[in-house]
Amino acid sequence: MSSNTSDMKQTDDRFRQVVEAAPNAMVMVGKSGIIEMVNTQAEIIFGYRRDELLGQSIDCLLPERFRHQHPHHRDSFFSDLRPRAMGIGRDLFGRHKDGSEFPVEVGLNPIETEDGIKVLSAITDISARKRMEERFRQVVEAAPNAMVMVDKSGIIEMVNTQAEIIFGYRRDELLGQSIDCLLPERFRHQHPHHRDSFFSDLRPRAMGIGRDLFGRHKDGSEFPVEVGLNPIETEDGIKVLSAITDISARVKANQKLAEHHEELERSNKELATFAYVASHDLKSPLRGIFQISQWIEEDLGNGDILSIPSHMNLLRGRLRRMELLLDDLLAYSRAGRMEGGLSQIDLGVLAHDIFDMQALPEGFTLVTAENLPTFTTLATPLEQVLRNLFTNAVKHHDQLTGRIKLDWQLKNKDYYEFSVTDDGPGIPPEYHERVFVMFQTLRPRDEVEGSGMGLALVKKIVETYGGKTSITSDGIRGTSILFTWPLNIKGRTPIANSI
Amino acid sequence: MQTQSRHNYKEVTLLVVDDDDIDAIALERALRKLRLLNTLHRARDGLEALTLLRSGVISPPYIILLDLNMPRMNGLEFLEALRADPILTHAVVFVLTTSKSDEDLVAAYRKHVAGYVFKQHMDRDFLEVIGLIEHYWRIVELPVNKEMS
Repeated sequence: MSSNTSDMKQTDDRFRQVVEAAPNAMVMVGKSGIIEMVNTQAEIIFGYRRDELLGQSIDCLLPERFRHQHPHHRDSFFSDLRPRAMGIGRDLFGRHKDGSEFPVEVGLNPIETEDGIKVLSAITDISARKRMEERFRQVVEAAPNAMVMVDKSGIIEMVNTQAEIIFGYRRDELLGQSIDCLLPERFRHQHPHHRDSFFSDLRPRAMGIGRDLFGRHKDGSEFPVEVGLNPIETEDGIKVLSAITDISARVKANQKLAEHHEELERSNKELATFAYVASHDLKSPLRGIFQISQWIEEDLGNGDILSIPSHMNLLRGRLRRMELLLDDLLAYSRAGRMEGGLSQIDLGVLAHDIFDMQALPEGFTLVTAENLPTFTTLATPLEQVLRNLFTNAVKHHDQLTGRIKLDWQLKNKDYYEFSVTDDGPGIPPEYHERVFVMFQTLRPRDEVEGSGMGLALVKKIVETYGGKTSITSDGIRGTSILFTWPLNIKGRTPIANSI
Repeated sequence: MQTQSRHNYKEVTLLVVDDDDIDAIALERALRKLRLLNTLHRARDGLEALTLLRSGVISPPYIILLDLNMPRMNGLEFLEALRADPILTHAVVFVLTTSKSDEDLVAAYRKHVAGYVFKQHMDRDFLEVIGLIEHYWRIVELPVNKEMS
């Protein structure tokens, strides 16, 4: 018997030593909640000496507001004896001797002793961890971009104010929801797959490299985003913290930049053409004039007066050509800039007005299709286009009489297509591209006076408003010049001065 | 002696390819001034020049004086067609142009022109050019296409 008693005492001592050596606070209570054993850690975290605790109710270690529920909880533990964590889903607090409170985690273990069942509680002060969590929350909140943390199944666990702003949801509308609500619908079905592959290879990275990503605002609108993904290890398992940046502004700026770039390139190309032209086309009449003046001098010196009138004729021709070139260059450089205002036009009436104003040779008539549209547009550039096409058709005609037809169709929902068709000599297909180039003529200038600017000007104006020019002709008889013109024209602010 | 030397070279025909009437007249006047009696042909663009050359109207030996900026077929396109033609490919061509562009110059020499002359000055040019070409044809042996064709 005595050896049995000493055995039991030995076991009891060993148990006390184990409890004492435990890394966290341990408190053993009986069924009525009276403290029967504590270890040094318990003295430390609660601030009581051991002798102040033994024999007291465990309630003294609880904040007062929880004390009245405690006996009830304790009873239910004793009625279902198994080791478990206390108060799952609730925040637990311990009460220090000085009255302060601190967050705790408590594990409960039933222990059988000869005095009956006791409860051994292991109590961990989790203030430090709570502080870390709070700090993490603050960092997330302070981040300059939207942050959303989701768990493995894609449920949102944390968002910051930026996330509320860019997605238009309140925080409480997001927490507990699937991250899918922040995605455009068409991407949702792929998302679980992408999320799984992220969880299978955990490392911080950008989402969807090489794809354009979009977020979905509460109002259903979409916006381009950049998303960085970071795996975060928490006690609840791995979470993903996504940093989401709304890049609408950047995308818009890039688009604008690209447009400016294109515009600049075009205007540079024009400048290069202009320099080339200025050195050749503008200089050649000058050289001619100089030369003729020498001939006049020479021939007068030789007494050859009869040649003078023809020299003079040539000379005046060159001067006229020079003037024409300069006028047309000016018109070209202004194309798309002198657009006047919007006005409603009846194209049938306008076309006849333009045709009549050109003082074209008598034998030429304009035929317009029936039902030419009446619409609101920038009249000035459209007049310029038609004027050039009409005079061109007449100037290059090989007969004394001719018929010019203006026709139209609705090309698509945004553009009309107009065509000016003549019954002149036609333009062989191999020249169709060239005729739209600045200063290109198909006949020597000494035969048909022209700057070679007409169609280049037409093309430039039409393209300014997003339209296209084209030409059809078999090169035997008749030419159609077609151009598209927007139904709804918008005045534009040129960003680079052409020429 | 003089008659002898006269028979040593065949009179050269000139083909001016230029759309500008004034340049054509200027060449004519320069020939007259230098008392040269060479036959002078005129084409207004590359296409007309090719037609003339292929019709055999222009008797070899001949030298082509070529402008670059012309309607329909310009100088460089004409050179392209000329060098691709098995008979005309031997033709001696001088480019006479107001184009100062390096690209034009390089492109012309790539098509084996005998010289690229820049019409910079308003006067003297044609006299000098005709003078140069006269020397050229007196000294240089020109291909005679007839035997090759």
